[in-house]
Amino acid sequence: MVGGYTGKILDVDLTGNTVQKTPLDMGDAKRFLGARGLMTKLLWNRMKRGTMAFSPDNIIMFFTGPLTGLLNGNRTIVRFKSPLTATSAGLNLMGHTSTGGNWGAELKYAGFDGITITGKAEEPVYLYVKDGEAEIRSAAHLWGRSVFETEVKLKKELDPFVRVLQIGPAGEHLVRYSCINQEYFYSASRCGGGAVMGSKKLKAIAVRGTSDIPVSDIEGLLALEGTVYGKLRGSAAEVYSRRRWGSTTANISSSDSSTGPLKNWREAYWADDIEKGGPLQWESRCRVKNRGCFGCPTPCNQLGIIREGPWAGTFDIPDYDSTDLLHPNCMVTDPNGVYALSSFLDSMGLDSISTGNTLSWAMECYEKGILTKDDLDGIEFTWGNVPAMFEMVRRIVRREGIGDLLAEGIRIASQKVGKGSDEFAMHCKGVEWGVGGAGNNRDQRETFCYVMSDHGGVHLYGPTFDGQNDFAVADNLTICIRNLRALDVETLGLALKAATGWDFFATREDMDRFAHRILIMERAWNIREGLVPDRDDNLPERVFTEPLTLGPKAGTAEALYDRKKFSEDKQTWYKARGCDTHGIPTKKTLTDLDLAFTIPILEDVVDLQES
Amino acid sequence: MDYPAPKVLTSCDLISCRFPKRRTERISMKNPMQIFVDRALPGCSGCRICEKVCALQHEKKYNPAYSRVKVYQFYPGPIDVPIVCQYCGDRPCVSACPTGALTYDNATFQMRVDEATCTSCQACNQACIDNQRGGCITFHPTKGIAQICDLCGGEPQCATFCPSDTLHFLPISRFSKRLAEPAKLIASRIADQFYPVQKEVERRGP
Repeated sequence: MVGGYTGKILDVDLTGNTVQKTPLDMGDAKRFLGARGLMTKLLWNRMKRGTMAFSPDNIIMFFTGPLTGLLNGNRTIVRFKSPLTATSAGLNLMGHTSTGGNWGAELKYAGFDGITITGKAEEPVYLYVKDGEAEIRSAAHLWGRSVFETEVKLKKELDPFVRVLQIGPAGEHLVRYSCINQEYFYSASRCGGGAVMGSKKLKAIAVRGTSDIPVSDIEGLLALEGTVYGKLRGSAAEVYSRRRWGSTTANISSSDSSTGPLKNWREAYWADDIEKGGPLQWESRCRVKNRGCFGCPTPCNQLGIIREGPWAGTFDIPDYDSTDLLHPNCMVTDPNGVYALSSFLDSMGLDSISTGNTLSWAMECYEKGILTKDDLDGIEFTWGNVPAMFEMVRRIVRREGIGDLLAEGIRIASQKVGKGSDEFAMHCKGVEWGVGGAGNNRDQRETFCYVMSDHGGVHLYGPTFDGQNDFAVADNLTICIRNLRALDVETLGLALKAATGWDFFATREDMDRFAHRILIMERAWNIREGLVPDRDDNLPERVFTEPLTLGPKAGTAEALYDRKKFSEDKQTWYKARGCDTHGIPTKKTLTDLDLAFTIPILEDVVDLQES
Repeated sequence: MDYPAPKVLTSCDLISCRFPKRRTERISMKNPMQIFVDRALPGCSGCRICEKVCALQHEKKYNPAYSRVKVYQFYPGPIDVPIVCQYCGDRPCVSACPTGALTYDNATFQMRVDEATCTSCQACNQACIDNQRGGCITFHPTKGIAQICDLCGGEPQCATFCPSDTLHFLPISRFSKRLAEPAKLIASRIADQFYPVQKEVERRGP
């Protein structure tokens, strides 16, 4: 018996107001394993070429993998045509984002492997999925409400144990970097998924499930539960650090090693003030407890409450990305201000990574006189001005005045503003740089996370070659990357075998092959949609022209990325991934990876090399 | 309320501290035992591993609906509160059962549900709620039969696996008063600890 999958996908058409259960193609499941791969295949099959992000034809998918709800699998992967990710010619590319929490597991318990949503509702709606049935309901009473209000209101209305994914006012107003939130502070934040949901007038997806997840070998999984738990709790220092401070520990260490963001990525090292938003500040001022995603024995979200000043009483779970991009990147020195902003962005449904980048870009424009006080609606937008940042975020959420420009993301905003502002617009393929795991200013190895990413400047694409493979597998199995790295390939292979009954992988080579297939499939899809790797796999000007002047890297060769070295690195990368010198997968690679079905369509778009 | 700004530590080296290992010694059921839910911070992380392993232990299936322990979420926060049978001395659930399906076994110190006579009327859970307790009895998602914590026969999986040191397996004699309380009340007690304010401790119970 094939387990691990529930074998059903929920297809929702909001234009026709219909829901339909489609069987999962088990051949595809075996070939692409889980969430990330399966969704790419579905996008290839179902989405029309050249669909724009806000068109009703856009499909937004929420998927789980074969280990979701079992062991420690809990993530939900979201895919769509992104309003933010784009080629330099302005064609929308793939949007990819993921969230932890309880939603993914609940969807499996409700009897579905995934949900695909297309069309556009006339009036605001939300989707209620319960035990194999689904219903589209009116969300008139939810529209316009913040993420926090929606979550509580739906839980009161439906069932206290319902799990909700929802968008905030930012998504409703089609802010291009709005996110999809869950349980207040968990969010599928990157690439503008919230705006896609907003364009479909879909406010929320509530899920409740009480049915079993079928598995192939329950005894095998029972034995693995203990093993996996032991391995994840195994490395003492790592676990302790994660449970006590969470991801924010990287805040200080990244600055110390000169790889963090500072002043819109102008510098990477902040001598004194970096401690003002770090984990120890949070712990001593605000932290009360930690929260974890479903089935995770090392909960890393640090929940806390601001106890003093104008924002007293505000809850927040800061993480490395939100604090680093709001605190050093906008040069905020008031810790409570950072936490209050982070919480406010969550309640409005904005991605704090992209928002932090956008605000810091606007601050630099103001400093350089590219945007004047009149342009900014009279806001004194100096570095670290927290009340001004609040005011600006309110405008962005409602798209008022200057907020309408900034809501487009820095790629479009810098094109409209001009005057050289695009040289310090820190984005790749339209998506503002994240920091977690890879966010390094001029680090020549790790900036490749952003260069090669098919989802734009997303830190969750993986920093190194092996790292990208890890992330692809983690997203496929819907296991958190930190947990995946604590497990060895044999354990994962055994877990998949016990769950599905199929031998997916036994060695690292098998796993890499799976990852390679998914990554090349994504690239092929993006090329079909208009990506020109040669031109679009690029970095912002700042990386090549403005050397770091502070910290340990100042004055060394690592202070600047040499343009010649960049193109050499790119060629090495293309070669390792089986692409030609223009970054396009060769026919041999596609055939070897069992992706021959893409060749006829790709040949329409580009010249494919034989090998 | 204004607190003086705390002194800031500067180094990240603290993270190399050793994580204390959990004791997992088995205590056989020679005494009446219970699952003790720790309400001190940081407390429950809401990971629901307890629900997962409880269902696996009792039904060998991946489905938290079979779980005898239920993690509630309260907002704002979220604050997570696990609710599980506290083995109260007076047992209003047993006296409320119209068919006698729910019993307490004095020899093994365990609650028992007789599947043949349980009529899924849910009176036991209602009695639990009506007596200002947690409402800790869950119901089988398809059969509707009452499910109550039986302490896994003396080796409770939830306490063994709890990663947050929230669920513990302890003798009832440690506590002079019953510990069962509504989830909402527990949540508000946890929330009280969010601000470091000394609160008067009130005595409860008979």
